[in-house]
Amino acid sequence: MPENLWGDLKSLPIVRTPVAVLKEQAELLTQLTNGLIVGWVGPSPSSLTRGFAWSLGVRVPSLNDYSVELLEIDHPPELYPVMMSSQIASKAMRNIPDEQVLKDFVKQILQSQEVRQLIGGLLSQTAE
Amino acid sequence: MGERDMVFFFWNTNRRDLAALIGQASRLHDLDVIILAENDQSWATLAAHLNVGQSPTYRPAIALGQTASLALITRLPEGSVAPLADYPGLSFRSIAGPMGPSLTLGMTHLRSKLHQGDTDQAYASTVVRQRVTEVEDRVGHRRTVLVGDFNMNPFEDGMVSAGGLHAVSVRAIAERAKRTVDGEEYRFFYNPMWGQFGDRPPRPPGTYYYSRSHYVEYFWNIFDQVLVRPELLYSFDDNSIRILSAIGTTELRTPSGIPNATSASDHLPLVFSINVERCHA
Repeated sequence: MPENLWGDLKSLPIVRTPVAVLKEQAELLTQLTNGLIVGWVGPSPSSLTRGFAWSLGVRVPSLNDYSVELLEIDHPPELYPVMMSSQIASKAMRNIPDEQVLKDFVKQILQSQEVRQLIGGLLSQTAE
Repeated sequence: MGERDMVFFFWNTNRRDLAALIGQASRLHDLDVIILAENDQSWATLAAHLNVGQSPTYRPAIALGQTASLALITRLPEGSVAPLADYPGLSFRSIAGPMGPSLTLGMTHLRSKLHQGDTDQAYASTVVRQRVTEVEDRVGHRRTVLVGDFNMNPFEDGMVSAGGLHAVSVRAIAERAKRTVDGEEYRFFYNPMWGQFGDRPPRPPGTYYYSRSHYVEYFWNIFDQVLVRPELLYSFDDNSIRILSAIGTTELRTPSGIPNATSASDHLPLVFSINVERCHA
């Protein structure tokens, strides 16, 4: 056994990743709408310089699977700081330092007038 | 152009009010589908110049301002345009042909070279390809045309690499439909814009011009492109593509020949047509 120059890796904190927060909200939306609107998380084409970029969006099975992106995040391998932007809600924040601030900003976007209007419009169409 | 051709127009308007020119282009070129990037014009402004004594009238098919300033306006029959997906700078709509099968129209405005490097653009292209594939798998056909401001030239990695848009310059190669690289299959696009470079007066040598004191400089670029899947090639005539240097009597270029960003846009518009009835079902 060679000498361990890495130290104790087991003591490193394993934290929830930013994309896990998005996946949780995607799944929650699917549950809250009884599957009428399905949340999704996938790789994002934007803001790639730091390596990990993800999008959160919604898909409507009854509307020919119409899909729309709500927000995107971009973070370095060490997870934080995260950069988040939402074109639909016209909001962006750089240097999100931790999970709590990340969740607060996700909440701001998901509860923005623009996103609520979109979700309401999609739900109304599924009811027709 | 045959009477069944659907005529498309794409223009990056550089956030300028060009409604009068777009209205004029709609009449001169008998446009069916108008796609605008960097559009800040309201529908009211555009409608005042588009719907002038014409029938049927134009209407927006993507809410203006909804998707990163991409706008889609058509005069196709009610119900013939169905939304498929919207991402920042990338939208898909299904267009039903009057008699033939439907096609998928992808519209894009990828990030400028001012905001990302070539490597980032190449990576962004891989995600665009994934999203095109997702939509194609969902609708169950590959009659797809992808048009927009890619902010890359046809020869750049993001446009030609198998993992990117895989858009080749030769029909005969695109007609092979796909090729395998490292055990993975990649579908082709045909990119007719390769044939639009260089001096062929009176046609402009590109759609966008810039000049810096770099050792390598192309001067004229073709960032505004239309890519066609092999399944649509039979419906698409290369000769239908025109980079417009004038709309009516209005020159879109300065006397020195570069796009006139003051009176028009820093990009020149594209017109092309697709014979929807010839689409293979």
